[in-house]
Amino acid sequence: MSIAWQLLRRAAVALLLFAAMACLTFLAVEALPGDACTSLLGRAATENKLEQCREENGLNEPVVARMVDWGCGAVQGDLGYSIKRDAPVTEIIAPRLRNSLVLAGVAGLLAFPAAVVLGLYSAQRRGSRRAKLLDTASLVMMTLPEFVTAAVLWLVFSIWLPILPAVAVLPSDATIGEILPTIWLPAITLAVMVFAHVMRSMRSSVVATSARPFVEAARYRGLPERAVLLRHVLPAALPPAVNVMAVTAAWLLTGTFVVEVVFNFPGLGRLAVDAISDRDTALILALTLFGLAVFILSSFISDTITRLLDPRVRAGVGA
Amino acid sequence: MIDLQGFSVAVDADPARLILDHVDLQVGRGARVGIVGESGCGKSTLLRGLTGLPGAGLHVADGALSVAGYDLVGMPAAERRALLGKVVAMVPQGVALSLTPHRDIASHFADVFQLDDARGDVPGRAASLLDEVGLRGAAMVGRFPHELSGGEQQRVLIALGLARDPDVLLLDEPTSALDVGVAHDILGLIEDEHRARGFTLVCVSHDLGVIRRVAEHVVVMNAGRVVEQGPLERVTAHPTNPFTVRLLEAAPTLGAISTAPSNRSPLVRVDRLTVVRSSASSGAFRSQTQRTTTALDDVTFEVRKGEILGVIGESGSGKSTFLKSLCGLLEVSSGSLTLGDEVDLSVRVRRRPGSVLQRIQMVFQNPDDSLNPAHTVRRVLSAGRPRSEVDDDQLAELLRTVGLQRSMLDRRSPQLSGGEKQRVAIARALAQRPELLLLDEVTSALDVTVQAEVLDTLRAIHRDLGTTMVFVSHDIAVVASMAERIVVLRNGRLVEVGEVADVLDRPNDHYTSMLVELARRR
Repeated sequence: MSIAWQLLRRAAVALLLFAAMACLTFLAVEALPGDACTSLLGRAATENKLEQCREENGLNEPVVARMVDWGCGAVQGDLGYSIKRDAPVTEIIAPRLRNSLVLAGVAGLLAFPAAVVLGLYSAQRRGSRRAKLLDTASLVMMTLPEFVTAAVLWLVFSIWLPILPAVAVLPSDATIGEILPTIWLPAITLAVMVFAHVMRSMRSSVVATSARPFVEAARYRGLPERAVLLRHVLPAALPPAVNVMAVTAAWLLTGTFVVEVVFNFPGLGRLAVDAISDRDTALILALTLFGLAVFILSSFISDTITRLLDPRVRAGVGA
Repeated sequence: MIDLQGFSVAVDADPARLILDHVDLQVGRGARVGIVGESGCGKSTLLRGLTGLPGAGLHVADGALSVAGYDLVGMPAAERRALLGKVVAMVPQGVALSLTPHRDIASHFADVFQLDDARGDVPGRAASLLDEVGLRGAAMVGRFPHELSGGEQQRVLIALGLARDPDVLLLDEPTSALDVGVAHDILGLIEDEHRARGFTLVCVSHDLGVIRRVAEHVVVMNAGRVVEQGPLERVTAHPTNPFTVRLLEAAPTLGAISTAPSNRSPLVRVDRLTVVRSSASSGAFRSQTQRTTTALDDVTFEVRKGEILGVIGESGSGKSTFLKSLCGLLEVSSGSLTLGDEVDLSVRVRRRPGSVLQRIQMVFQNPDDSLNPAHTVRRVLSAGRPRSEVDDDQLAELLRTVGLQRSMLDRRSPQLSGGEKQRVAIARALAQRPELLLLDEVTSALDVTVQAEVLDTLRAIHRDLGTTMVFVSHDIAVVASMAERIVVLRNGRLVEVGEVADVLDRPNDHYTSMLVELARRR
């Protein structure tokens, strides 16, 4: 079976999975107590007003009919209408999605290359004082809660050396140029944690690979250490680290609400928290599905990279 | 060429622990030296040590090493590295994944050619080296290691070792885990290359047969020391050290053969048995290309009550498939498999009643895999029975049958030696009082002296309990020393079946005669 066919098949499976999860999410939101109308009307709700609101917004239709209706819309890029915010969901999400992507991108760029290089270094020099220091530091970075990291960063960069703004006071549709100066502190906070996770997985993967016989064999062939590391160890050690990177990349896009709240950053995370407390069903649905798509996509990408690194799969010999 | 004096290697973490203890060795130019000993004796460390790099976690603690006039211990690491492959080349074990899985064969050669800064036709030069070691080089250079058989990988590793025309070639277990025929060819290749290129050869093996083939000078090691060394003929004919004597005696040879008492009734009938195995893994959303192989093809013979039936064949011959079908671990595709007169063994293990399961027990090749390291021997032996029914006296009696002490009951498998583990595994099988004991390469993971002891234990069990045994092995000498009758399988087909003496003296098939011929030469 060719690699293209394998990928196509996996893409189809991913799509199917996504559709199934979408239905499940729709039903789960439906099962929440209350609906968009109770939340919109709040205390002013009377039986009559509620009935009227539901009628206007089509909430009296059967669940399945609404689900199909919503699904058809979603396929055409229409994610529904937020009754509470009185705007199409896509319009609410778009600018914040851009902000979140920029934030995740900056954090990823700060964390991933450094993590791979230092992971390799720490595995190579294990036992040395610097490697031990790096390991301890990464352990601390991994366990530090985001708000503590944030507080330390404020202290250093906003109070002692006032070079970066502590919080963003920007509307969600500010231009990227306006956002960039405020992005550094939240991005560093996220990068700290991501770096620690990726570095540690890289390190343990390199250590495990270095113990395999083909590495020793290459060394006894007289290859310089650099060649052994780059040509023989690295390609075999990357797949597990790539998997961790994919998962953390997905987390950067979906799990950042604490950081966003702390720094008042106008991203998707904060929107999700607000949407849930507002019972804004259309928005909750759209955001949940976005998160789902991110996770499915990232695992698909990491799977593809892993397969491409393995000649057995490349050649199409089962897997 | 090689001059080793008082050479000691210690563990980094515990410098008092010596893996090699003051080893002296002098090897002349062009000589062929064999190092033999059991696992853990330090023979591989000695081989690595000849490059000045004893291996990860180890360091040279004492002594001097000179190879081709270079002081490999004293010189800086970078200079030593430059000599690796050029002055001393190491050929690692082929089966142990010594080729980098994500690099094709040409890249392996490119790595090595680059060291001499010789640009040019890498695939062409690689191909001619591969041709020299008996491979079709042009077809081989573009392949990846997983596309090569074990024998082919070993040949590639030898070619890589020869690539820079070294003065000394070090070979680490060049034939272990290869089928006898393939191993024979590899040893032939090593002899030819030595004759053609005239390098100094040092070969490590646990198998005296290998050493006899390639070496003229033999070094016997035990517990980090050289216990005896000298010309091959002298050491094998007149060993002076008791350890050498034991090693020589334990090596299985085609010697005394037991004859089967006639007119025994059959215990298992194998009638036109065919087993088709598919290598595809199944998953909910995953379907792979189904690769099916006929692992056993229309095989008919019987296992007689009270006998030891030897089953011999190389990898892929169907011998493991046969055992797994008997246990119900594999689906029988056609034909029949009956136990006694009535029990149908083509039924999978989950559908078999307990009384049938208990009648057939199996001992696996590697006790490290088949014993749970978290369980005590007591728990291993009493598995399947409630705690209240377990009686230490019974278990001790069971241990005694396999030659172990009662004090073993509280140990766990990591606290046992290889031979002890395999004895516990045998005792576990015997605990069920089986009629039929299946033994799958039970000694191939063991050292020769330990192998000899375990085989003695099995013979004693057979004599005292009369248990019927099916003894599977790739080593015809071991099978011949155990079995009364013998079944030879090849590529899933029955080559021949008969009394051991008949098969060995008058093989009906050229494959059997090759096996016998190779075993006789050792």
